Amino acid sequence: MLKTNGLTKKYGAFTALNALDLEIGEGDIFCLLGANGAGKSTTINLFLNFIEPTSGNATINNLDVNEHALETKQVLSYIPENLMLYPSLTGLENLDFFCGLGGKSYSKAELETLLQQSGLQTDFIDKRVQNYSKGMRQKVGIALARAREAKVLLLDEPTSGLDPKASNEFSELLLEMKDKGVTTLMATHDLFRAKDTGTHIGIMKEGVLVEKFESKDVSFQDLERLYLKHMHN
Amino acid sequence: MDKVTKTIIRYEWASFVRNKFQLLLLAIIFLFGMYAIYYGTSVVEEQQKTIADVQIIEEDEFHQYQVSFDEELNSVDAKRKRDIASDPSYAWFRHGYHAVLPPHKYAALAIGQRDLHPYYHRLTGMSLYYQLFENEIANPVKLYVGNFDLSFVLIYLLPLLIIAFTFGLYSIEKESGVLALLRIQSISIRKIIAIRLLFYFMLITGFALLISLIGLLVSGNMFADENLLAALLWLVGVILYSAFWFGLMFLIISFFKSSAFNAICAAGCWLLFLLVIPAILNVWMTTKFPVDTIHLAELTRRTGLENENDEKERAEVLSEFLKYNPQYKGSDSLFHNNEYAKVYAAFTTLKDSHSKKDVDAYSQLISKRNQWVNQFLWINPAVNMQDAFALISKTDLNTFLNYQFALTTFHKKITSFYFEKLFWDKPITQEDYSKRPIFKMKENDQRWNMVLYSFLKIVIITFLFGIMGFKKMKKVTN
Amino acid sequence: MKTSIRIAKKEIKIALREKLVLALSCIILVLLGISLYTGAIAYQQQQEAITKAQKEKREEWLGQGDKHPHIAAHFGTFIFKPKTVLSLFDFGLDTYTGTSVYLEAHYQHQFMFRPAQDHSSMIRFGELSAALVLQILMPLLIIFLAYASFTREKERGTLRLLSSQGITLTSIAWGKIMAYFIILLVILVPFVLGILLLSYLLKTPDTITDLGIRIVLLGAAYMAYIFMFIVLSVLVSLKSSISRNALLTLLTCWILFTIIIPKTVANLGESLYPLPSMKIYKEAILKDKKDGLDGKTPRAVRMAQLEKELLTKYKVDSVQQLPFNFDGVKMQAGEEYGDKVYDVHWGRLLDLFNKQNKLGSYASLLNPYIALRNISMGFSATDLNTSVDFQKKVENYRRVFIKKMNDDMAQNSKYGEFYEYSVGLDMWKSVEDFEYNTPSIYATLKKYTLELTSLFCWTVVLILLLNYITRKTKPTNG
Repeated sequence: MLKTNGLTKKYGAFTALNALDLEIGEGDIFCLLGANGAGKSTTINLFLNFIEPTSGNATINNLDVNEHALETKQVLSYIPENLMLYPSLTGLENLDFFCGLGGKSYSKAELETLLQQSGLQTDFIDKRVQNYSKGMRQKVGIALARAREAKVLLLDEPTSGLDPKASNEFSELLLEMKDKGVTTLMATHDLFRAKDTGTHIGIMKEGVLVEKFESKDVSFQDLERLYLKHMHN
Repeated sequence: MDKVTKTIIRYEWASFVRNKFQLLLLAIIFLFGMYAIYYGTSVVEEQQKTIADVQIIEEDEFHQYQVSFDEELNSVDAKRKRDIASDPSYAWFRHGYHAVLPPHKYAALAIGQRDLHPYYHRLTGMSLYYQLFENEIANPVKLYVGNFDLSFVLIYLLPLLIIAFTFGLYSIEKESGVLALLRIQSISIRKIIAIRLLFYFMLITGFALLISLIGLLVSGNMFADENLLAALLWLVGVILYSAFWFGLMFLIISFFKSSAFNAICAAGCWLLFLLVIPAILNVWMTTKFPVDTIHLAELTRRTGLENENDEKERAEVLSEFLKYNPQYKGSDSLFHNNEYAKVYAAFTTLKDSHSKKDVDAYSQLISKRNQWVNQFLWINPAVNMQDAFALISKTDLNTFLNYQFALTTFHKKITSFYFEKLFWDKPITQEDYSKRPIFKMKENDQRWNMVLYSFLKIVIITFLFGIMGFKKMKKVTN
Repeated sequence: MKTSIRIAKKEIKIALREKLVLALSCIILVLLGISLYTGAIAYQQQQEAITKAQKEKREEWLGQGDKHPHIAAHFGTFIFKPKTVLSLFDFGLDTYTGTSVYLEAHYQHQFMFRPAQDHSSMIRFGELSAALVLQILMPLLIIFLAYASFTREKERGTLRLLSSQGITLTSIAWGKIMAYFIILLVILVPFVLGILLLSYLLKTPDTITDLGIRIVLLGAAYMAYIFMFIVLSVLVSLKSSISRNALLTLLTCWILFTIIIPKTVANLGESLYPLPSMKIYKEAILKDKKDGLDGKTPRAVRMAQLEKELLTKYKVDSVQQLPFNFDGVKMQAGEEYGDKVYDVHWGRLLDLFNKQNKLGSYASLLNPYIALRNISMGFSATDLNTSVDFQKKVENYRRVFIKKMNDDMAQNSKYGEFYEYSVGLDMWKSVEDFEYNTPSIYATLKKYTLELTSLFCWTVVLILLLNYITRKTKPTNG
């Protein structure tokens, strides 16, 4: 579903991402671990076509994201570390607006159901987003991904700053999406969450993917040891 | 309209309605617009009242003359009245004719130079230039500050409204972080920006058209034949001017900089077009083509013969007069009857002939200055628009120059009417009053072409900005 | 204090790295340069032309030959309004007040030829003078310089960092204010040098009094204005949560202060106290001269009274027996009555002007721009007060000179003779040439107490407010 071939991004002399070859199958949840500046966000931004690769390419469903920018965007949804919405619109209206941009329209009841399914408290649905907590906004993001019927979910540290309960709810939602065949690429610092939620785990360091394994193959202790080993040298 | 466009517009409307600051801004500008219309119409009404007064004065004066023919000549007063009415040697410098430049109905919307130039003149057969240079009473502070008319609201305040509504179209989303979600949509950012700009263009232009329509309806009947074209052109002008500012904002937004940068840039452009460029051009013109009105001051002096009793001087004046006006040569009575009146008439006419060169040079210089400065209108749609509004409502400088020219022709008619009698020793009869000269002014038949030409300039510069913005935006990947 | 200086140094360093600030400073400097250059050229052109014309008119007066003094009184002379050297700094109302006047017996002529009449309506966009740059553009530079002074630190979190080191908001604010003030003063150095150089080069005879004090006061007023605007900008930045809001608030203030309020106030003044039209004004004067100020004592009655009085006083039966020429006395009496009538009407007109402008003075309490604009014009002697003072002095000169002619006629000519009597060069020489000096700076200061109070209060109140708010506000918001 998601694939990169020698994907490289350079900023002058600095190499943010070095010849990344990655393949993520349909329904997988791939968690990218790594220190700040390791190239996790760069990888996600390249999939989103927010930036252009220096060399190599990234494809979604075998379509090059740079050449088929609009088509690939139709199948993906994105939740950044801090999802921002229009503060003067309600959660429901934000959802309706962004769905509309994707050419999808839902009835009000359908939108409400989507938000409820994504865990948003009912009494907040019609409140303006300026009153929302970060976790609530992330939930609207999930609702949006569902509404868009996204096949691919790109997440950039979506749980950082969330309290454990909210974080847990978020993981549950991801797993639910996985069961529907959604492919997820998530950058995170949270080893526990990666092990718990992810089907695959990759560790990045200075723009290079140094480790890649299925999460069922390692215990949490091994994962932590492995991670710290890479961080220390 | 596709579904996506509808969604964008629906939510743009929602956020517009919820933004109290923007609504307040619209309300304030609307009130300013209403005040401007009120102020403009009151100025024009005042001028119309003055014109009516002036016309009554003239009617009264000539009515008295005509009545005096039917009165018994049994008192000195009655005899004097009859003399003034019938004897050309009094009548030529006593009878006052009013030339009037009535305000166009829409002068109320663009007062232009109407508060500065006199718009009526009382002319007698005496020296034209002595009577031509008149002043209208005005408070210099007020002249300096300028008129709060509708053209001011449209030219100065409308762009501010446009800037306030659009400077953050892209950048505020970027700064607040919403942009990320917009960028993953399968619709390009450029299209989103274009749709929203179009939405605000409709909204604000509609708003400006509404104020204009109120103005056009209040100050005159828009559907009257003489007003319809002017009103339509006014409305077209409003649309074009609004489009120009939207084009400029599109270009500024296409740089994808911060909202503060956009606001500063837009405010800078506003200042450049509405203050800096015209202010520089004005002083540049003044220093490049200095106008010497000091020279003309001499024309306002009342002069007469050095010594009326000097027969030689009188003869000199008359013979020089005949050189310019050979049609009176045949009059053998020239040097006999009524010589003082004739010599004085000849003297003032000669004075005009002598000063004609200076006055013409002055008018030509004014026209030349204007032509020179008009070539810069290409780079300044604001002044260009002001010019077009003044043209539409006949308050431009050209109208006043034409009016002065018409005054010259009118004065010639007056002098020949009286001099025919004076120099041929004929009395003025009651029937002659029906053949009195009447003031006429030629319409500027180039007016509409000039307005359309101004519009063309704005259209071109708008397209230029639009295309530049489009190209710039295309470079940014989505 | 020490911390403030440290902060000031940091701010200056940051400002110097901002391309926008540097570019704007350069633009303002260039504009100041252009305005001084064109101002100096215009001043020289006008001054030369006026001096030359005034000399010519004097020679014309002296060389008019022998004639009856009353004919000379009608021959009259011209006065041209001299430019003050400070007008090259602030044009003030010079473009909108008449430049020349014709002085003759019986009539008070109007000042003619307002320079604005030679322009198209573009003149209403303003003229580039150093005063315009400093009054309108300088605040904009200040806004761009200071709008983000606090908000940027809030957005980046550096404000908390500063506060955590025990630095008070008050000293941070004063450090910033100091920095901006120093930057602006440095920008103005070349300009001030330019002015000093120009005033050294343009050593023409001038009409302005207390030039030194005027320049110092102008400098002080502009410094206060600039300082006040800096404090205002920093204050708004302190109270705003994000830079964009600070910028928008300040830009709104700027447009209200410099464009919208001045225009509204001046237009409102005209609506509240409407001016008569010139025609009506002149008719009223003529009517009062004819029928008497009370409307019941026509000219003939007044003259008969005078005759009776004089006959009783000198105990003679007929005017021929009077020891002077009664015609001359009558002439002067008519003149004086005319002056009285004129004073009433002109007084009324000036009263209307004053009422209209007083509104502006009151508005200056709310709008520091109006305060500075009026003060600047006043100190540069290009305001309405100076213009009126000039007109009054010219009118007095006319009265003295006409009285001299009439008295000579009364004393030295015989009753009934006119062309037989003439005077010559000695008489003409005894009429001194007109020389004008502006009112003293103290008289000017008195006229602008409201404006001076306004500028003072704005500065003090803003400083107090800043100190109060910085003590109250916690650095944690935003």
